[in-house]
Amino acid sequence: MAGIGVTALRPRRVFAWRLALPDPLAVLGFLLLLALWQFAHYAIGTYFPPPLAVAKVAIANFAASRYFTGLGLPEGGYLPHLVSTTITVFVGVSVGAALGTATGLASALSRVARQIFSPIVSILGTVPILVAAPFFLIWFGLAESSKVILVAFYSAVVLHIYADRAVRNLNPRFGEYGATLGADPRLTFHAVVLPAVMPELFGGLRTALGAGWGLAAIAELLGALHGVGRVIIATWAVYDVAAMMAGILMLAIIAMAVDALVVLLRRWVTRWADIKGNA
Amino acid sequence: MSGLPIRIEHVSCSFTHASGTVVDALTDVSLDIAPGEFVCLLGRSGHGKSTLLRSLAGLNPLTSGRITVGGAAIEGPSAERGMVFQEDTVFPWMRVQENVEFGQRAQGQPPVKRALSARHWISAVGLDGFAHSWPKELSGGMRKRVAIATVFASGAPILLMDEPFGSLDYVTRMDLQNLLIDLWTRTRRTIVFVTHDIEEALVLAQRIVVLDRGRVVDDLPVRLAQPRDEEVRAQPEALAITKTVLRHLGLARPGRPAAAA
Amino acid sequence: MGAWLRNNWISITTVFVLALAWEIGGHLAPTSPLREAPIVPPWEYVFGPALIGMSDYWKIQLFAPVPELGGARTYFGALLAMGYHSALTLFRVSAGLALGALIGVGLGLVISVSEVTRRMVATPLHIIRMCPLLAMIPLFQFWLGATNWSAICYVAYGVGVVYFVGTLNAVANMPRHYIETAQTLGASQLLIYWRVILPAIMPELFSSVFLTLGLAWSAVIGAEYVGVESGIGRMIIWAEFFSHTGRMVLVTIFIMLYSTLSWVVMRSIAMRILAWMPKAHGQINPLS
Repeated sequence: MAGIGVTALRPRRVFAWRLALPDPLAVLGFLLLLALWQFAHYAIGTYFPPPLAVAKVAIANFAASRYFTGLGLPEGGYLPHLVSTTITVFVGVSVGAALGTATGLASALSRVARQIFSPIVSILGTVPILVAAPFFLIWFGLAESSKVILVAFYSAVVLHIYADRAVRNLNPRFGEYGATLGADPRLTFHAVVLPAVMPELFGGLRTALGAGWGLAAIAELLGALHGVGRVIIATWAVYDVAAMMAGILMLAIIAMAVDALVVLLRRWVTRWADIKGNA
Repeated sequence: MSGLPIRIEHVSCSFTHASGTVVDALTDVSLDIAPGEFVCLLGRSGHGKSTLLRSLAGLNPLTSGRITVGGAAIEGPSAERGMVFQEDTVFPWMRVQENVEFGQRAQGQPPVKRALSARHWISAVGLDGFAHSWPKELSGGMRKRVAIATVFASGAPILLMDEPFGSLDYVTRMDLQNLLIDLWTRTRRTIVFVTHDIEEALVLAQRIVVLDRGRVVDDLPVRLAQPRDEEVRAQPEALAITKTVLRHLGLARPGRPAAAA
Repeated sequence: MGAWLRNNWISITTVFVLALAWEIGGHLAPTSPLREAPIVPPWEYVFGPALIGMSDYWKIQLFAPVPELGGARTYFGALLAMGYHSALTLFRVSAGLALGALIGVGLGLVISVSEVTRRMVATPLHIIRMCPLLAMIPLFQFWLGATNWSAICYVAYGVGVVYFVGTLNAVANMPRHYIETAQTLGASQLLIYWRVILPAIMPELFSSVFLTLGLAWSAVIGAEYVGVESGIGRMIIWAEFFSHTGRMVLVTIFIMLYSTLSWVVMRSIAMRILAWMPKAHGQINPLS
């Protein structure tokens, strides 16, 4: 074996979990945004409350609020509504994503499945899912379940499209390589196909989450007993812009936190991928 | 390792494009490969070498003719015919160890046995210490070694290689050619190696099968001693083979005196 | 034609089965004397009484009788109502898309000029992206009223953010050597922007186009659901208020048709503009 050495160095274990320090320019940008906001308040007036006013409303009415009860909202301030919307999105996206991934994978791997799902998905993919909302209102009433079903439906469609596309775009060489090593279809599926499509599935998950918050909110705007949308409707009626903005921003903060978690999860699950996400 | 003779009998392979044009990739190819031989399929791009290899692997259907391995007709890919592709097919989501174990895992070998076997082959290809690395941390040449280790570890008696070193630089290619010859000499498995590089064929093969437009036009034995360094390759027998092959490929320079090659 | 039928018979059967299931559901679903329409309207109801009922939404004393003011329900009135509201909605979608694309891409190119501005914009942009678009309908309608213009601005905002981010990413991901080649040939900064960067980022931007199409539709329908008093989204809400499910189904079918049409139009525009783009090796056409 003389002469057949590997001239590359031994690999050093690099700790990939080192958190990046925030970019000073990004911080500056954030402060600039706040400044612009304040300036807009000076320019526009009471219809555009400054950041501090919005923060005050948020904090004052966060956990308990006689003001809210006065508007007809249930006890507990913003918190129970934030929780309600968050749970709606969590449950809806999880169930929908699981379902959509399953049907998407099936669609890519089986001709029959693809033929069954393709007309459904091509219609659902082009039509805004919002058209279903009024129907759900009539069929399921103002129940929480109609919100969840709306979000689940949308997530299922998104994940179906992502999963189907990911499997179809997979380099066929991987499957052939596995086959020439003796892998049967079952092993090929869970040892080759599934890990390979993970990066794309996470992309779909983030997309579904991104729109899920909005879908939950508008379902609540159309008529719900709980949720941030309900708060926005109630405070809109009394022209309390600060409260409306506070609700939206708090939802945005939760959405950001959840998205960051998903990114972290994706980085761990696909830690084998290079920077571009390709292999 | 029992030897499995390969018989390729009057194989033809045609493809029909979506536009309707029919391409005859292979026409009436017949070939016998004895167990333990190192055969190179040589020819221009698009003249059928890869098609023949893939048909042998069971990845392409045949239009006519049949291929038997050890007497039994082949019906698709199987672990008895392992393949190394030109593209990077090492699974990026598995560490090197898991990659090399994959063939044995597919065949149902118990974890301890396949781990030990994998370690042996990782060492044999010179990747000691990299068993727990991710493929993304390795260079292209090192990933090729992983693929080679994997296919040897799976126990395949027949190894098919489709221009495996084509995308590597010259020096890495030489390293890997030496590695392959070393492994072949020690294990005497059958290797069918596709290349368009005459030098590579001269370094590796016992036998060069030249394909031109889907037909076998020549079958040249290469009776040079291993290892075939530059000196061996400069010998008259080697030059004669080179010139014959060049002639088949249509690259022979007319009117050039034989002495000044 | 025969081959297409043979290959796709499962798909065709699926569609028929679903339509049939709907019809059966329509007859099995409970009706109540309080509602004019059954909860699940069967197809003959949708294309019969519901269709003519659409003329209820025609409110102008011109060309057709106005049911609101005691006139008769007519098919022509239904047609006019559909046409009028469809035109409004389609106008809002197109105008919003065009405005949003223009501002989003323009702003994106401007910010991309300097690395400093790009890094500064990152955090505020992320926060803005994370504000759920549909939750902001009341805010926009509070500020801009519930008019045509406010709907267009709302759509432009939603679409603009996507194009802004898309442009920033596309310019950042662009191969540097295109710009460098142009510079070595002596091109001015403006020429580089117009002739090199803009066309080069088109392929990546076009993946945003279909995303924004869906987004624009959602935004317009959403706005019409909540406050805007015209358009086909609003028609669904009017119908829903009285549980006129047949009319809801009818309008939904039209929305599906318009949606699909807009996708087809977008695709043909995209194909034409991107005719120069080479197909990536072995990759399925990203536009499909």
